[in-house]
Amino acid sequence: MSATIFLQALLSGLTNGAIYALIAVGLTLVFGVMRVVNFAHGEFLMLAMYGGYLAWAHLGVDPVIAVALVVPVLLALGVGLFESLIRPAMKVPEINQMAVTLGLSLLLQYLALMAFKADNLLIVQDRSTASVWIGPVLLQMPHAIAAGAAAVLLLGLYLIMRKTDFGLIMRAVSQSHDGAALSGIDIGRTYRWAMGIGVGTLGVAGPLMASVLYVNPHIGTLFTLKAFVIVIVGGMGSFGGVLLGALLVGVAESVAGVLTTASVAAAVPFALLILVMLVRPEGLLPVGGGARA
Amino acid sequence: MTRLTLERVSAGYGKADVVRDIDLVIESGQRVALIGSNGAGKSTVVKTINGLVATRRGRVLWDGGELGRMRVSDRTRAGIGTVPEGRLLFPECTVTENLVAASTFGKAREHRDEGLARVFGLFPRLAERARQRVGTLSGGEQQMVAIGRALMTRPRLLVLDEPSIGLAPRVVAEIFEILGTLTRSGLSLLLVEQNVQLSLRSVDYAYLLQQGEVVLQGPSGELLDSPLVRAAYLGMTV
Repeated sequence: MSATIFLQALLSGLTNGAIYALIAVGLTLVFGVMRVVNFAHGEFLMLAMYGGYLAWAHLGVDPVIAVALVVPVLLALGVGLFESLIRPAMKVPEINQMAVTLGLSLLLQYLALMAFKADNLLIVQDRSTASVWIGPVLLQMPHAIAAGAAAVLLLGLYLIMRKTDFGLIMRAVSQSHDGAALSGIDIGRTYRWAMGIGVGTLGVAGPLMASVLYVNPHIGTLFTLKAFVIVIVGGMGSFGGVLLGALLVGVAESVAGVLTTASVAAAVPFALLILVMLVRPEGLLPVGGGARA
Repeated sequence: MTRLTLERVSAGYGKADVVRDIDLVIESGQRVALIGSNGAGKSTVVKTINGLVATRRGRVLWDGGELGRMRVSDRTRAGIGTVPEGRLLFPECTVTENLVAASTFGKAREHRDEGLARVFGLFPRLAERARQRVGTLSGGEQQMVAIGRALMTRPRLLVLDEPSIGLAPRVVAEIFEILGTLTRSGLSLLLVEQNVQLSLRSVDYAYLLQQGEVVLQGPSGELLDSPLVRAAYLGMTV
């Protein structure tokens, strides 16, 4: 592999990794604050991708602009999910919570199948084939936009978590529910916002990804799995861990794709997961060693 | 007048009642101790007051109103500050962040800077470690953060559950001296301790809990002289 091809794979992996981080950060936020594993996370991404696609196909809205429309919808869906299903499920054993979100995942897939059929849909614009040169390597414009938006959103989330009362409340609840309640923090309200933001971040990812990847009713499953790999590799509930895990997965996939075949590359994140679990079961940047979501 | 009243309160876990028919009153500015051996139900009483455990029978009244099913956070906001057993701090946050996290509502937020200045004034060691992660502090320093955090909520009643447990005598003395300063400023206090002698010397009135029931109560001086307390808790023969 020449240096240029390696650099190309590296850049492609980093941009994919930034997008993966954007998807996984919501999952880790919800787990960190609520200790709830949302198996339907990818299906909300699928809905956001459809949202972006429909806004473009029927209203002519650019996916970048569509983000402003889709985020409030996803945020409301996240809050609705918490109030309707998660809040009651938190009173029962964890296995029941998992069953609820797993059931919701399948329900959303089949509802999407009814509504949109199984067609693969993609936003195609003039800039879809445009590229920018970064030194000797080429970056496709839709990837550059998605990765740029991911970087901006992740930085924004990080600053909110570190510099605001809102972020401090999230971090406090994630470290001690009872301690937070005794500090006067409204736990139910914090959960509601954590779920709203956790799902709402997918409103940024969805429309931008619909210009990069085909959307179909089952696309969410792939990203739920990938987000889980990232969150576990990075360290459950760790913000820094999500970034590291996402970039590692993105680069590993991309480099493997150049060195081997696409099917081997698709298996690489899961091999990475097994490796990390054997060598460092707590994840690469566990909570306590990195900023907690 | 702010007053906490427990009227025939029973509470517990699972099917069993841990405490039964507890009557307890803390008047405004009063210092009260709840003493008893390990497993007597002292922490359960604390949890019925701060809401971490539901009352099964009886009533908990605060400011004349029944707390009923009021949430833990609302009880804190209503002026009941707790320093819980095990502290329940935010170990990955700094000292300042732990304190600020307890001032994100109402008047506590309005008076945050004043609250921080007060806590750092009471515990100068915390001021020196303001930017240090709480998980890296000593046990004594963590207990100071836990007290400071409760003070940041602007309580009118401070409930302390085993504040001396696991701490060096020198640190315990320091903490109790500060508690004395706080109560002299009018703060009501409920002290739950296994260290009976220390508790009774720090309060005005005390309740002795045995196997989930109040078996003795009175001014702390009287309890110190009580044959039951002296024999069972102070290791003295009558």
